[in-house]
Amino acid sequence: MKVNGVAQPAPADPRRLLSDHLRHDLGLTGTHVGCEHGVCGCCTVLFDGAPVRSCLMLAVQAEGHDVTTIEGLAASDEPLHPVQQAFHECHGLQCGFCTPGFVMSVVGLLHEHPDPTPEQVDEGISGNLCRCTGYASIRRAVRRAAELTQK
Amino acid sequence: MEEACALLSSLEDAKVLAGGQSLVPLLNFRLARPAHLVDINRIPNLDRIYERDGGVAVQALARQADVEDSQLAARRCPLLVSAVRLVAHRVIRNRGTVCGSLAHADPASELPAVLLALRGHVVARSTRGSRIIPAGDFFTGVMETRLAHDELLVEAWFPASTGRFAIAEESRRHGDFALAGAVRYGDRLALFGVAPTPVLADRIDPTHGLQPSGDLEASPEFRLHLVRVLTEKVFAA
Amino acid sequence: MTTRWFGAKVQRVEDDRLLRGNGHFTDDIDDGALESVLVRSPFAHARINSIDVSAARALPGVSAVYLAADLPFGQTDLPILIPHPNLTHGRTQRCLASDVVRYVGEAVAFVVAENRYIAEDAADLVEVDYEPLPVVITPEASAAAEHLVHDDVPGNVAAEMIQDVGDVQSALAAAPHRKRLHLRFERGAASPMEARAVWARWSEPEHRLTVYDSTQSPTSIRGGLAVLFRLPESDVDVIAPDVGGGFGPKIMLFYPDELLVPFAAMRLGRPVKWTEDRQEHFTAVNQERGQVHEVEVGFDGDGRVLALDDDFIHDAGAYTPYGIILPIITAAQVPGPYRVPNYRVRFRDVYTNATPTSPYRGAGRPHACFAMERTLDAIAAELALDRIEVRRRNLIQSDQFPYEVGVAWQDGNRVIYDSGNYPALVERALQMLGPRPDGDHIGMGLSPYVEGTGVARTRARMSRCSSRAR
Repeated sequence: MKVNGVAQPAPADPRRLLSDHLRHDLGLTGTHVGCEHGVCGCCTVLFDGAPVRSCLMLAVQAEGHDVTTIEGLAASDEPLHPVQQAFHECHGLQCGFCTPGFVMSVVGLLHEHPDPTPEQVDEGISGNLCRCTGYASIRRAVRRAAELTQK
Repeated sequence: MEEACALLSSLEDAKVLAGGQSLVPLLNFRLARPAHLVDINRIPNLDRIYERDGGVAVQALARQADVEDSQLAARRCPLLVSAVRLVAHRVIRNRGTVCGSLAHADPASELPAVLLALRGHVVARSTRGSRIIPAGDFFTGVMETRLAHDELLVEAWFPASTGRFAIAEESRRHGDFALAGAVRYGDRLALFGVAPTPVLADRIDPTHGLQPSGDLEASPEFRLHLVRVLTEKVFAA
Repeated sequence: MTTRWFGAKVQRVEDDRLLRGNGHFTDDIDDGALESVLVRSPFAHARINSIDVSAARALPGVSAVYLAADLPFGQTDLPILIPHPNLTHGRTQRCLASDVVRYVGEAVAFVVAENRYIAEDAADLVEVDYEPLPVVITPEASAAAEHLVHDDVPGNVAAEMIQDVGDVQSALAAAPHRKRLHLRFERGAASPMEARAVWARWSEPEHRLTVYDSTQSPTSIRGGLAVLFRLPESDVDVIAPDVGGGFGPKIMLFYPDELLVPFAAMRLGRPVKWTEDRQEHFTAVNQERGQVHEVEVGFDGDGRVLALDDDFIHDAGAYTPYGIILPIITAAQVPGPYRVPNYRVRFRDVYTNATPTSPYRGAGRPHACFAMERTLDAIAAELALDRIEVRRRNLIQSDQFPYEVGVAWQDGNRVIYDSGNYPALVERALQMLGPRPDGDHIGMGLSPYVEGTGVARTRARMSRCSSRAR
């Protein structure tokens, strides 16, 4: 499989979840685990460009596919990706645990709806949970991300 | 496909893994502990959404998101598109499959009720051949269907349905499992979340014969109340 | 520090690494650690007849399975964080239960293995013979005490406290109007997005215990570990790295894993880590907010409160690891910003067969505020007065400070409000709210509140002294 553009082997254990493989076998700990049943969104990564829950996929299923994690959005010496930048500007994060999942979901959302209506924003983030912010700043961050992406 | 069927036939205690959005949570909770998983995701040419007999055929690996975005489905079966939009969240729908949802047969899910209301069918395949199972015969109990242990659900067929339709459900939060739901097509009404399987109901007396379960989310009385409210809603649309 | 930062919008400095996925949360740390799982009771109340870990221990990849008997501290009750003289029947659990379990989620065995998958396989093989016992779930059922949570705690009452200001009985009897309210609060759980996690390593050459813990209180954990493992505090590091939300329940001394993980690391000579999953979190991590209030208020024809009697029960859960500051805070905060010349508050902290409770954002204050605000609304309804006007008539006036409420605060000191202009605050709030919007709206509410500050156990005195440097 390719993870952030780099070829990586699949784990030997077919039971290993993609989330665990990314975090513990590949050391990409930016993807977080919040519920292990697909509800909270913390584990969201891009699979062949579309956001999916890495906690609901077995790592071996990713063989032959492209996975992008939060670490893959911008190289460490590059500026932040517009979605990341927008979250920073709009105070869209506090503890940061849910943030990678939100960012990856929003990347997917803006790909489908580059200029989302408020309803599309709400629909687009409804699959991610945050216990710190109360979501208002996250909504603003999505709008700001749309602006930055369209520039 | 042949390989998948052969495996299902020869293996003891095997489950099919397609989208995994219902099965993997069960594995994570260790509520399901199959000895084997047969991952069908690499089977080629099994992800099509195409026209058949005027209606819409959805193959096993067509993702719910693909159906949501399908022009064909929007034209021929807009009820299906509306229903798919209610399934969980878009990110789940990027992997989840329509056929998987039907085979999983959770009483609270939307798509089985849609198949029932539209009088569609599924196509099951095994080493013994293919067969068609009409919606009315397919769902037999809570998460139980007529699929034999060695059968693969390869296609779901939804008849052309451009008449009046509506779907409405009530859940605690958007995207949660429905506490109760109603699907209307023409004069037909199908309910979900209120019985072990989706059920057809009479629009005048929708709660007749229903004995919904009570749980932490909703009492039986509340589910019956929801049935009345949702029935009114779908016929007012 | 200059004044130019006051009120200025400041960008955060930690965002860059959190947004890039370079956060450092406890489960992110591996470093060759063994992984572990806790076996927990599925029963709310049960006797443990036997535990068989032989199959679990024999599973390849399993390093150890510990029961209470395997722990040097296995018979030690965990500490009470804040003892109190009124907590006459405080009870805490042990790291691992061996006789009785008293809530769903109480830990019974600790499994350490090469990875979590194997550890969970092994946990499945642990056989516990439980004998279910009668269950007490609601605070009301607890107070009725048909069944006991602890055999040696009569009436399920861990603590009782009564505070009296003035003469409530006479004032109620003499009041022109009286009203009773029954107010009930359901339990809630903080559920931070990051569940709990602990990682520990013991280095023999350095004689150093290093612990990473998703905790809000690393300092007290360090002190506790030093005491328990008989180490100088300077040989113990407890680090709270990035923490994905806490909201209160991540303050404990201790959760069983906070002892078990370091213990296993020391025993096995390898780092050990433990990360709970969400389902486990729902019953294993402290909850809060269960209270039932019986309020009786006496008032005059103008809506002025003459006397208030609040008798409430507080749901402690199965144990009282934190003490009783929660109901004490509630008791102290009920009067809030209002004049209550005669106030009596009694609480009973009662045991239930449910997850223990400890402060969760609000920590007893929301209950107090709600009780008082609903009481004032009830007075307004009874007298057909405007709800805001009733509040105006009861607020402490600006010339009445310092104002002594007459009850004790969580630090044992008397509650005295030092200053304030509550009526002006309410008027300003009303101005800011503006006129009621047209059309469909659910409603507008106003709830004035006083926050207790300056919590201090002791007083400090500073005096000038002339001295020379020696």
